[in-house]
Amino acid sequence: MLGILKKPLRKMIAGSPWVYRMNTGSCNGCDVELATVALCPRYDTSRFGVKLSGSPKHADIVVITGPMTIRCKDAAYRIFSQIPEPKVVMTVGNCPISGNVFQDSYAVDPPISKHFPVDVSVAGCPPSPWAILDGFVKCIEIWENRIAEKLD
Amino acid sequence: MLQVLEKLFNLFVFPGFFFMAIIGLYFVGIHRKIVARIQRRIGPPIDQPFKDFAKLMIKEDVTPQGAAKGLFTLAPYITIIGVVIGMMFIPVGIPAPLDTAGAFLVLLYLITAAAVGVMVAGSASSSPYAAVGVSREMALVIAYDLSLIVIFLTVAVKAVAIETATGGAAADLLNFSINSIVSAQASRPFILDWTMLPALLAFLMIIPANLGLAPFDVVEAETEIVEGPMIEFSGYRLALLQLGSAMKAFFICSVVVVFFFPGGIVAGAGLGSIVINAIWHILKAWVVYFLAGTLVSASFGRRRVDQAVKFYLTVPLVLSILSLGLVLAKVG
Repeated sequence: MLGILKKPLRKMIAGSPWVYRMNTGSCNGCDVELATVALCPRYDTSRFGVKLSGSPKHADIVVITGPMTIRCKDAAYRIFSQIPEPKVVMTVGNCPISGNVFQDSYAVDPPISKHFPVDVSVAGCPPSPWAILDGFVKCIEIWENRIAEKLD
Repeated sequence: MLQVLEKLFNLFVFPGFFFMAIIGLYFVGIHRKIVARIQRRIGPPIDQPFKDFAKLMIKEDVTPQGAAKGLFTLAPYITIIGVVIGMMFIPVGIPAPLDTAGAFLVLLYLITAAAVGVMVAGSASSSPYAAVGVSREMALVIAYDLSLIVIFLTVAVKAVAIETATGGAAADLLNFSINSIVSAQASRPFILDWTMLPALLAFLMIIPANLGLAPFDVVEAETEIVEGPMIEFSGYRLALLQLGSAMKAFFICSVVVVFFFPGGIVAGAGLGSIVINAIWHILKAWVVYFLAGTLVSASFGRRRVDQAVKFYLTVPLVLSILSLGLVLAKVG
């Protein structure tokens, strides 16, 4: 009986991905592009249902910036475990991919995919707002697939 | 038996839980859309709150270890139960299901009880951010409750004055039932009475603080204290908290409608007139929400908690005392 409701239910649930931004030692360049441009009223991600949430417990899409610095590794793991399933992980910038300019530093531990399961990576230093928005759209597609899996 | 079934229908379907849930969530959706348009962007679709609710129901529930187990589970239901029972005292198309003498005072209590729900939720989470949110909410509630009591007093005194003037039954005086308030406005609703206008203005000023809308949304949606009292809630608990908040919006706007401009447009007790009168009530409540909630929140930035408390202890209090004075002096 629930089968016939699945498709509209899936569309309904996928229409509300909330975003939590996690900064693991970034230089703030990507955070500036993210929180003050891509998630601001001008580029209007709220038409996709995206809302910037203040608490990790309210999040669906986790956006990670920065290479994982050694000092914040414990905190990052703790916060990540508090984000309820199902979730989608997106990294913004070159640092989470390879460490970028901080590559051989003793204080960082790139790439992020070593610590967390990353779904979407947006490259750039910093990536343009349009690239970040494109990343969001791809995240929302993956989010819809995860919802479909969970409903089955 | 039929009476019990009818009351249960009133409690759960109309004008109780389901009716309030759907209308309340649509109120919030329309509010977000209008605010977006005022800010020259597209904004979320109108049924966005339904999508949020559906998504939150399937999310995993992460409960902090130090949270007070019983209260953490109970807290989201307090607001919902408070506003559903409060709605039982309000006539929406049909006469109020639970109207008795003294219903007026119970309504005052239930409005505050709905705010207590948020406080209990914040206190039950073991988080310092939530504690800060709770203390801010307490300060704000104390500040605007003062004006709310004076407004209720003004409405009651005016209703009694009109009943005495038109020679209503002696038993109706000091009855404090919602019916007496509504019937006192049968000839002329209070909104058309210039002595009641300051009280209406004060009530409209209280609405943003009650519903957590700008400029007095210092309690929740807080970039400083990470969403305040709701920080530790996730999954279905958060869904219920947000549902309670949406239902509270419809409830408080209905209270404003009943106190200042009640009445249907079609007389009679048939199903058709009930539907038309209910839709008329929803429209009136939405106009109140639009003026006091949407327009105000799209135009103002957030006030600090001390600025908010200082505002509520001055402007609405002076306005409501002015109205009380005018009504007591039997002017106009």
